[in-house]
Amino acid sequence: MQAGTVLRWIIIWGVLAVGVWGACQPLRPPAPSPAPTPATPLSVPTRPSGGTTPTRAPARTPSLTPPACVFQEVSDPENPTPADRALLPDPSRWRWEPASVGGQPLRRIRGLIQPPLPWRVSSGGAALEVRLLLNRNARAVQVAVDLRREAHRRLHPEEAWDVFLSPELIFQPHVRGAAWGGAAWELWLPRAAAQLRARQEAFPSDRIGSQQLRVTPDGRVRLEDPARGVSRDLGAPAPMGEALVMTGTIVLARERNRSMWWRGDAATGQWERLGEIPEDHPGDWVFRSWAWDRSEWMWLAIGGVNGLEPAHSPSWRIPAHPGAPLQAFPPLPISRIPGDGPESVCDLFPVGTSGRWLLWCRVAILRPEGKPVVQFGVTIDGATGRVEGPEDLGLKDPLVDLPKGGVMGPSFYLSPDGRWLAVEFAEVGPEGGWRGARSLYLLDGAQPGWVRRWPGRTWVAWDPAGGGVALWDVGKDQLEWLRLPPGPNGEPVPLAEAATAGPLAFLEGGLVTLSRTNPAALQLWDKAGRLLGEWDFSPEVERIYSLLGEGGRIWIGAFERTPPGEPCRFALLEWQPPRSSHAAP
Amino acid sequence: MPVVNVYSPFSGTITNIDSLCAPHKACNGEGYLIDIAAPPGTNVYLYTTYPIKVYISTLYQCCYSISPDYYRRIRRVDLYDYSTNCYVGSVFYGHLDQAAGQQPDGWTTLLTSNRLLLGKIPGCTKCTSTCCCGAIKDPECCFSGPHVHIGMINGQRAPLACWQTVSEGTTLLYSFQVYPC
Repeated sequence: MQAGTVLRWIIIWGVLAVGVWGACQPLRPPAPSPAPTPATPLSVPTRPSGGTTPTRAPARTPSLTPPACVFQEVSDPENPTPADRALLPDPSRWRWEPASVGGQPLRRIRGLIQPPLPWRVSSGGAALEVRLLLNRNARAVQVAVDLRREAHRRLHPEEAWDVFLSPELIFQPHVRGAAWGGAAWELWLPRAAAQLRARQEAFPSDRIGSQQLRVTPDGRVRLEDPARGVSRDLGAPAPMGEALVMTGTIVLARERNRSMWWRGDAATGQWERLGEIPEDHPGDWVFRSWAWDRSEWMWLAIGGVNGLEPAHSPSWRIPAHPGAPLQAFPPLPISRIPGDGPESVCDLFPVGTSGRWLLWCRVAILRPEGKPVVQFGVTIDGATGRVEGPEDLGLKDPLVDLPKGGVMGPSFYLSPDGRWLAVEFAEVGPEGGWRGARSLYLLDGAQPGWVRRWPGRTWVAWDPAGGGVALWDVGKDQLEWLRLPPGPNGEPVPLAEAATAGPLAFLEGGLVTLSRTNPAALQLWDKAGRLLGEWDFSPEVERIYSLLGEGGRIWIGAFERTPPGEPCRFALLEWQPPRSSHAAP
Repeated sequence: MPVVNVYSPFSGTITNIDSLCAPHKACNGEGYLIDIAAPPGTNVYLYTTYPIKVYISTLYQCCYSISPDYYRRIRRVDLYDYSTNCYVGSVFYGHLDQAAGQQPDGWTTLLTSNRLLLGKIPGCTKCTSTCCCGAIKDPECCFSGPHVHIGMINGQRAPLACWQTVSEGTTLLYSFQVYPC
């Protein structure tokens, strides 16, 4: 019997002995902290006397066996014990060390007590944000790793913890966990949403060329260029409270202290009275967004602030064209679904140039004649304000009646450039939850009617650079790559040697996966899906659990080699694959 | 072997079970998670088999919110067999606002009633377009509308389903075996 196994048995029998002893003690108030005991494989909350030992509920997904080390948890970061304090991360002491793999240089930060998850490159490439998992309750802190020097630091040192991070991203499969709660939801979906948001915000809605749009305290709308000494009154017909640039020289403004909206043209000085848009109803969530070409502004209200109910307010479409009227749509029969999160996204984006809008979060479509349709995302016809069903998108899969209530609709995943829409229909398990893929559709928001369908697939990740999409063939348990835009007969290419239980990253010219046979080996693929090479990191680490690609570099989160039963140690690696291996074909 | 049952704390709709209907995280190590949605202000009760002894404590470990604190507030109910004083299991009720007349923390015995008032469902305050927490550290959110997050230790969950409607005091959520100690 190995030493680690013996240690585990000692711990388990020790716990049972304490439980039996505790059962015979008189009742007493519970200990203040119910947090799991740190650094034990079996979590045992400290509770009052008990006939049976309380234990944590079993993990909800099958486990990919992680290294047999013990994760030293900071059990309660908000009320740390002395033992917890000793474990708290101090990034100022981290240091990059040079190393190599397969003759290729890399650098690493070793000996970390908490697993780092490379999250994004920030500060113009000067820093790498990593998230450090503190405990199995998903508490994590954000750290800025200095990519140029050694000034590593916590982003919010005043906080006990910063963000949620699923332990499954470290300890369990995560390409394969493409369903609720997997890497697709926790990593790739928020990343796509962040890119889409950044694209929306890139357009300055407070300036026309070099001139700043400004509403003066007395309600006049002016264009000003202090550097050139230019200031022009646009001749608004009433005192305005706010104004913004729609597109070109078109300005939208709301009367001060009123809900009356006007549209003006800075080039001609002409103003049009559009009409009143009443204050948002407090029971509605309201989302405002622009078409990618800034030709219209959509103003959508859905219910859900006060529970599962449809919108109380109408929705609005404000075209940016002179002469086009303000359009009111009847209140949408949609509610945001109350629940925990973190909700991955809740946004409103146009789908390419299709005139269709995607409201992107978990919603219930409430139907007077039947059960609500629950789905992740819903499309709205921008011309009519109508909530679309799958048939409106040319999708043939039927909705699934849930056994005890509700109807399950599809899940929508919009590409970071706003053009492609992946729509996924799931099989449903007896609990009414997600149970594997039925089919995946791909729609092109730039070509009306363009739809492809692949059975048995789920969406995994969009290439942030727009080069393609990673899919998972559930039946074959195989990762696939579809280049975008696909050719006339474009089919996903199987990445046969890639682990579906490992992480995934994109870099310029290709993508990176983990080997099916070696959890410490990385594979590089070009954008045609051809395997370019494999690099074994085994001399450095035991298992790779996380990847992030940016430009030509890859950041790797990995378990270091430690004896079974010993505390886990983690490493952050930075590696640049040889240029020749990832040049775009 | 006797059994202690815990029933739905109010009438509403199940919007999540573990991560079957949506991503879901525990607040503090509890398992067999259930989210039940109902309008804000709805009273939240412990409904259980009686007679029974319970110990109630208040924790602040759900959500990010700092102020107001009710998105974080958990009422933890530890169940003890009435005749033997043996520990049976625990149920967590997360995101609870305070309700007038709610049961204070500490020991109590349910002799003639099957329910205790624990709090009420909070409304949404300080909402942004994505979140309803009182204070947000990240674009992520932990409370997207009025509901209660429920979990437990040491028992079994009844066969429930996403989008099932549940009835106050009658829909079984959890069962706990009572063992001698």
